[in-house]
Amino acid sequence: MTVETSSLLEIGTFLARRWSGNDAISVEFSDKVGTRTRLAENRIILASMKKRPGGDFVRYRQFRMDLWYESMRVRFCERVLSNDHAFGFVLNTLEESRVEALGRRMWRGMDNEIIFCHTYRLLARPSLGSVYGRAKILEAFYQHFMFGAFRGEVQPSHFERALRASRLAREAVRTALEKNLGTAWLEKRAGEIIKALEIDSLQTVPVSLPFVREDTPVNQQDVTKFLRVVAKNREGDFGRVDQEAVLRGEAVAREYRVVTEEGRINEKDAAAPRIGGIQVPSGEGADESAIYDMDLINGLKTRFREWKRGYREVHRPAGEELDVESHLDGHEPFFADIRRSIKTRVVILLDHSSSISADAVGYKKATLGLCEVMAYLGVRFAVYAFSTQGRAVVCWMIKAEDSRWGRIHAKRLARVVANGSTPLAQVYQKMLPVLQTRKPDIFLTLTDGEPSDPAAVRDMIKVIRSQGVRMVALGLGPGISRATVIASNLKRLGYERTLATSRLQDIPRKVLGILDEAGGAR
Amino acid sequence: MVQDYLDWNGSMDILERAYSTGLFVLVIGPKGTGKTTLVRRFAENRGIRLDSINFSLRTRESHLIGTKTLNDGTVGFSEGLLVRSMKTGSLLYLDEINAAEADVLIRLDESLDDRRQIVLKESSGETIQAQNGWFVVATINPLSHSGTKELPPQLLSRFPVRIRLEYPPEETECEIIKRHTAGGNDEQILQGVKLANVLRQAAAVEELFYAPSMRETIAFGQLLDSGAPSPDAARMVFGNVYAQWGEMEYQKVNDMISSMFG
Repeated sequence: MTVETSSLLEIGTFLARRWSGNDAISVEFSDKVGTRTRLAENRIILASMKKRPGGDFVRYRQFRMDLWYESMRVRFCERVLSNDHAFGFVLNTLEESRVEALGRRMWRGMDNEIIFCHTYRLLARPSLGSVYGRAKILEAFYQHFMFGAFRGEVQPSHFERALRASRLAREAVRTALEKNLGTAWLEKRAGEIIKALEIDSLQTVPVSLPFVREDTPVNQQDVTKFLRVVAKNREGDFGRVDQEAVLRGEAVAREYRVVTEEGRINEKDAAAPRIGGIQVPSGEGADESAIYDMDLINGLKTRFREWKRGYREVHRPAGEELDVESHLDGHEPFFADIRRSIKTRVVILLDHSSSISADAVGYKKATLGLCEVMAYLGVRFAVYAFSTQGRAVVCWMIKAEDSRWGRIHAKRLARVVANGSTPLAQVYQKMLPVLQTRKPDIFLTLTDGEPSDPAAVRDMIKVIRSQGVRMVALGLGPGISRATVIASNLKRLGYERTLATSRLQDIPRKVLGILDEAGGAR
Repeated sequence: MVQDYLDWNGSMDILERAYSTGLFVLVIGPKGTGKTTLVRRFAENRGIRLDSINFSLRTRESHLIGTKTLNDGTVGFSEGLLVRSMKTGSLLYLDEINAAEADVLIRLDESLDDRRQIVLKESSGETIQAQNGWFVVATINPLSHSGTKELPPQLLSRFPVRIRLEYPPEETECEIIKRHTAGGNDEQILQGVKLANVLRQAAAVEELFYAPSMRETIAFGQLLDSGAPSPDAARMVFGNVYAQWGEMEYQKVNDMISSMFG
């Protein structure tokens, strides 16, 4: 996954949730499978950006439209079958046409982008001459139904069947729309279409993804030609299409620029720390929704709202605004608004040693809640984690200081598997270059155990403190007494401040308390 | 004159019942759902005087109870809104009561219990007894709104009748907008309401920082009346406000507008 993908995921998740009206949808990219939706899991999986034809902007527009179609499936389909066999392929094709029509009733500004998307989809389809075996007639049907045209020659024996199936399909979709019928009804019609094509409903459909090689050059004349074909085919639904406007895509141009710019900032930032032997966990395939605890996050946001607002009213012995009542009651008579915001820059290191694995989900929920609320409050923070992989300790970068907190970071956090011991000194050693260049105000270590290399940790802490970084540790223990023991042992290692908690949910509050103490309120 | 109020969820009826049984009412709902309009319209229908106060962090006890004055060497007392309202038996409307500080709420609590009286410790210590027919309606915004606090339970119990006012269904909101506009843009207005609902849903799950109110959907309709094309009106009313949270936030909403209006 490229770093640029992080900002695509950010906007993609937002768009998919709004378009589909489903707040639980997560979006991810995959190099291995084509675009598909798993309704039961609330997941939209998109084909990799590299597999799409055309330049970056063109790819972005295809990504956006693929997402729109999948969101419409989430909104209107009862079931989404696999595209791997003929029956599923035909049903999904019918459904695509149905959900497009339904989607256009609400999302009326999509017409030009639909035309554009279809142009590139037609461009990405194989020429019928290059499809062999029984898949050929299915491809012929698909092309005729979706685009009203064939790419390449279609053999006479297939022509009639494909045309008849395509007519049946149109009729089925029209009836479904008129009578408000859903997936279950179309499933029956899909069977009839399979019969008309004279193929087996379980016939394997070659995966469409490999049809496109990475970075396939696009011939601009082909684009214009296919655009004409698509525009003519859809004239009945869309009316006359301004083909120039379709190619320009002005509605999306600025959005694309912003997303790219955002991606560039993240990329620049993520590249730096790798020098120190720090790895970035791949967020691919990770389901972050399991570690999102919305109740916890919203509770934290409500609790710390005062910080978000940025000021707090206090009474003082001197000031500009006199509060007579307060004076008469014997309190300090003047009130003033004080700025309240956290200016402290913090680096957080999360212990993912095997001892935490028993409660890994709870731990991740709490640390994710912490990150969410820090992002909400506008705190500048970086998050790292360590675990053991293949007998070597690995320091993972979850979020760099300059990147904006988003879905990709949550995915990375979800990806780190708790394993191994607590070789803190080694981890500190790996992080030293980052700490030296970034010089955060506070370096906070969250750990549930004592380090396996205490003497070395003591030395490392001295080194880091000499850089002007405040070393703080938060000890997590199964009970408050154990947590306190951990914290007091950590204190002996030379941390300036240690805290203890036995409840995972308390982590965010404790950490924000530390930040506030560190001169946050001003 | 309050513009024609559409009582889409029977709130007026609940107010009537509460008034006739002497029970105080708490209206809960996000901003811009017509809470104030509801109460103003009720007072107008009933022909009762309406005293309103909008609570904020700066609302003091003295605003409710009153302050001592010094005129020509004589110490007097200028009554606050609560005392005045109790004496005249008017409809006291306490807007956004959960934005007030705790000490202000304590004094309110005293006056709202069954005895309906308050001791004026600030003045001569006399007891003010509320007139018959004294009626109090308070509103609170949900906790997610900035500057709001949880209402203490004892105060909550002083308002045994609660009305939950949400954003109305699409058709109803369109109907309300039509009452404030010249008419003739029905389809675009419906699209605008749909867009507002998409943004409200996003704000409810904290994906956006702000949810448009009904005031904004009405403004959208009014801009359409002035001849503004619907995408422009949507950007003016719903879109541009998100620019304050950064370009990315703005683009997210802008995409919704493009998806809906082109």
